[in-house]
Amino acid sequence: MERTSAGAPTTVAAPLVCLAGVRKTFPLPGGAPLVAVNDVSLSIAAGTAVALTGPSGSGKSTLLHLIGAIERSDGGRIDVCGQQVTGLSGRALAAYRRQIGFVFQRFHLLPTLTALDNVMAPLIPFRTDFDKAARARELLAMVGLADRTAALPSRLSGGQQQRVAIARALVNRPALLLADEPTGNLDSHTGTAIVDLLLSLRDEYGTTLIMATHDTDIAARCDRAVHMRDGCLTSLDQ
Amino acid sequence: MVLSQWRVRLRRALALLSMIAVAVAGFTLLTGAAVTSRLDTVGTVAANYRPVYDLLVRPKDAVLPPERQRNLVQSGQLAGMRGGITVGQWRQIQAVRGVSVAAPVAMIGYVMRTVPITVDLADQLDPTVERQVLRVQPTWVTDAGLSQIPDGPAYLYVTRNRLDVVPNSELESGGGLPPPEEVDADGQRVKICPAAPSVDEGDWLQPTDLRARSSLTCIGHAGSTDREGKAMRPAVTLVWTVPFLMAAVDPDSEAALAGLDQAVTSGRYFTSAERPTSHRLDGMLYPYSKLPILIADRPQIDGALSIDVQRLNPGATELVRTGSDDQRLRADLGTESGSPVAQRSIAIDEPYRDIVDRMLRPGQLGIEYDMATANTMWLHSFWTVGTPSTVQVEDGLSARPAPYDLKIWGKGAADGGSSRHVPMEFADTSVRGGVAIHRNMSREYAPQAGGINMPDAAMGAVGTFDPAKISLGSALSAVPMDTYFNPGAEGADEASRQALGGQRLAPNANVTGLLSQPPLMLTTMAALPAIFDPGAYSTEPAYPEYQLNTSAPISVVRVRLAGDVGVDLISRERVRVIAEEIAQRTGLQVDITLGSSPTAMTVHYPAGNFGRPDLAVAEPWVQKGVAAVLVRAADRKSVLLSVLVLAVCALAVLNANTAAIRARRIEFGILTCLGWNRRHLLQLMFTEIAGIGLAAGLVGNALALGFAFALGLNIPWSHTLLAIPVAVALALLAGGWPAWRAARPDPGEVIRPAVLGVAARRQAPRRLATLALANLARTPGRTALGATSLMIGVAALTMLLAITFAFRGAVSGTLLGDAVTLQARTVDYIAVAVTIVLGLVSVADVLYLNISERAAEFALFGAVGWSDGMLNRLVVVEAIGMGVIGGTLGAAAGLGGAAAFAGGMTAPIVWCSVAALVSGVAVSAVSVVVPIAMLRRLPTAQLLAEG
Repeated sequence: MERTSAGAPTTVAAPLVCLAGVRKTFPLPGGAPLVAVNDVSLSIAAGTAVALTGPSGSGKSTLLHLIGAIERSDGGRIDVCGQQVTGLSGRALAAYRRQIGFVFQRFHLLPTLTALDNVMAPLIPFRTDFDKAARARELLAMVGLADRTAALPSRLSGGQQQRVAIARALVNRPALLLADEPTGNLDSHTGTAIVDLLLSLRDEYGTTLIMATHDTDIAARCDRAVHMRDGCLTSLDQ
Repeated sequence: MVLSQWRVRLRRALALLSMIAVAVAGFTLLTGAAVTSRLDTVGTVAANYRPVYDLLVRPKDAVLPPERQRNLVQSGQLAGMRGGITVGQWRQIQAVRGVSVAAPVAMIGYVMRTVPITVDLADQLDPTVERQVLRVQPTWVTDAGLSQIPDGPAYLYVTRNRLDVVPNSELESGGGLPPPEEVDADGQRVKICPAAPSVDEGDWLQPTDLRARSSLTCIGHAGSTDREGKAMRPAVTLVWTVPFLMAAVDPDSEAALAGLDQAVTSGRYFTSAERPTSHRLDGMLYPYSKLPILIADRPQIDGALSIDVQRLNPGATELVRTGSDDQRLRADLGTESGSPVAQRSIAIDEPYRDIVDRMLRPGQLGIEYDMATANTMWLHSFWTVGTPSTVQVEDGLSARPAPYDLKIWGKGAADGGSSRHVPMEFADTSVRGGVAIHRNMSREYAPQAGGINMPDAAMGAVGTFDPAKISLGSALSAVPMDTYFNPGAEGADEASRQALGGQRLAPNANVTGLLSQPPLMLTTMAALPAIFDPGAYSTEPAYPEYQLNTSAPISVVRVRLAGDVGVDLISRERVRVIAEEIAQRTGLQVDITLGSSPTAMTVHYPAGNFGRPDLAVAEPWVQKGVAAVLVRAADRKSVLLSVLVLAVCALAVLNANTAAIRARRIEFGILTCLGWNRRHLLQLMFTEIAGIGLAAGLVGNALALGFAFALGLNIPWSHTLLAIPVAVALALLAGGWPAWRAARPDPGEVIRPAVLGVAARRQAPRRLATLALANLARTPGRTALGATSLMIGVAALTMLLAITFAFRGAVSGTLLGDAVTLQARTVDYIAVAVTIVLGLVSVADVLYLNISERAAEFALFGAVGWSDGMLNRLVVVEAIGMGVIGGTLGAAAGLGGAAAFAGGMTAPIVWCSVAALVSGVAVSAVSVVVPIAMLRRLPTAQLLAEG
């Protein structure tokens, strides 16, 4: 098992994401539990793009879910933006989730809402001091869909749907964007465009990006690549 | 394949199974209970179907407007009836084919009989004083104790000295009564107890005037004798006058109809042929006829006499010794104060028995001569009164005071003599007009010196009867048997019930009050001419409306039909034909009392003069045709309930199946893509559905048995077995349609997302509630499913409430109807419970499926930072939205159905639909509990991750 040291020379002093001995198991019917994430420690500086690579079932998604507080870890400690995520619950947990953005392989757009409404959807129950629609339009323009705001997901191509999903992930202006195989359902050309878009966010807004991917080319374009196998980190590329 | 389906989708299969099981258990229970309830109702009706008489024949003018309007028959009105049916008409009725008994009642009127009440005061005397005055204050207590009517006091002057009285034998005629003289120890004589001066008739007082009803009695020491030479006793005599209502009946018919012959308690029964017998007394110039009379052996009159004895202060003795004006002296004594020395109370039964004894054994009791009582047998005169003067008010009738001149009862006098032969109750409020006196006209009357004016009619009591032994039929079908019985009336509202202290208001001696006593003296139809023949009695006032109806003396005829009469249509038709024939032949009013039941008629009785407050009392009238209405209503309700619950179950199962199959569209699409054809798909689905139906039938059977046992329902186990085939049939029928639709062989259509966005762009959802409503609007299929479940429930509940209310409305208000409604209550509760449970289960089911279908969506919202509360709100708003849509549609549908069923929109039906709507929305809000619990357990990460 490989241990990693926190921090890299190019980053600022305080890391944005800090994992220490994180562990997650899933019970299996009639057998030993499946260890999805095993004693992972990792530190990610703000403004870096990190690729999380590894074969299927290596624990990439689970690790992203743990960082995004969608799953609760069984052990270890996760700190994001100076908050201990592992200790959050209830309203604080929901508030934390609003500080990060999530992009899924399957887009998970609401089929009944237009592109614009999909982008605004996370804000629906909240009062904001800004114009929700204006921000959504701005984000859609940024991902290159200014002219498709009124389209329903079923009328959009896969690449366009993923752009809507990215715009939606950014609607809360997150400091951290988690992307789980964002290009997995797309052809390579469209996938490249999506990766370009994600990386440009880091460049323009300093958004920290953690992206799970199979694609070594995509991994190579990130600032760091972290490889996982059987729930453990096996190598850290700078 | 099927088995693996069930295993994989175990929860889904279980949900569908329990849905069908609950539905068929409900169906089985409810149909079982409805059938049992119908049988109970019909059984109760049949058992209480036949009253003592089947038809009531009256003169047309005897029918009151509320009777016609509300299909009622009045009761307790006999006393006010004046005849109107001829003996010929009665014979005509008897001759109608199918008539077994036609029993007439001919009202005669009130006869007054009086007995003395001797109040012995020996124990109350003070032996130490020479002279003393005692006051005996009588108070009449009636109307369940509410009325306390003070009578004129009787004064007793007692001296230890001798009292000299001029004996009757030495009285000079026309000289008036000389007062007695008290002779004291030194021989001094003082005239005491002045006699009443003779007063012109014009100056006589009303018979209830207290000045005319007080008396003064003076007695001396033991050696003193009265005018008849008897030793004086320290006692005063009060009188008790009882009015007896007299009617003529036909003895044979009464025996056949009500078993009057079996109710005789002393003496003998009379026969139909029994006419008045002719007699002549020694020295009497003409014969008199004696009417055979049967007397009730109990009074059925509410009345008691309370007697207070006071010793007056010594000053009172001086008043007696110095007073010279009788009336002034009694008035002065009335102002004297005294101290109570004794109190006693006498119930009416005592004097009543005394009167009956005197009538049964005239001249054998050694009764002392008394103006009041010597004439026990003579029928000098009798009185008739009218019906209560009433106006129709919202809730029944209101009796109006009808004042009249009380001198019609007795001329009154200044001396307290004959005026006391009138019940003091007559001073209370009158609500009956038309009081007339009918005086005997001695046909050969010729005044003779020393002769006494004797009437030529007398009453010869042959025996007594006990009204309690008369056959009245069952309480639930009792018809007015006014001839024997007046049950009185209980309070119709809370205030009246409280005032009456839970007792019933009963008839009293005030014959012009609201309630009249039943006839206490019965004579024969054959004896009627002695009273009704022209020239027998003269009526005063001499107006035509007061005259006796000599040509048509019969007031009512009660008819009993021959043979058995059932509750079935043919029997009812036979009765109707006979009734019509009687009406046609005689031109009289014929009411069918067969299948009727007592109902309450509210009558407002104005306050009395002696403490009785305004009362609203419920007179026991009779509602006609109750049995037929009940049987019809029970039949209809039973059918409606069964149809309703079957429809609800079918729709609920249809809904559940539709939802279940919707959730598997993708699976079917994949199977189609894999080369399955429609037949394969249908086979798969029908096998699944039939299997679930069978299992549900077994569970439903067990549930029905358990509930039937727990609720104590008498449902045969064979009926609960019905649950199995019903469940399979229901599952196949209700599952068939959605399966048929889902098995379309177009894989593209099947595999397309269940929820297709509609391009029409409306206001974007900017708030959670709007998002929820937008979800409803943009997923019409799913919304329709949820709303339909609720619509079915709410419509069913509305219909059910309407059916129940309609049933109660049709049958309640009568004793029989109330008994039946009480019996039917269980089935009503079960029906409501089944409907609500089905509604709850199907809405929860739809919401559950909704959430399963949209699990990823909810997971996403969780991932972007929505709190649990927000997600819950989303579900609740959607559920309530569905509830309002479905509930409103259901209430409208139910309202329409109920209105069509009831033949119009009534306020209760509207309220039913509103209640059903509210409960529908409530049910949908409550039903989110399960889906919300499910939300908590959503595997968010799994849903969001690529599988």
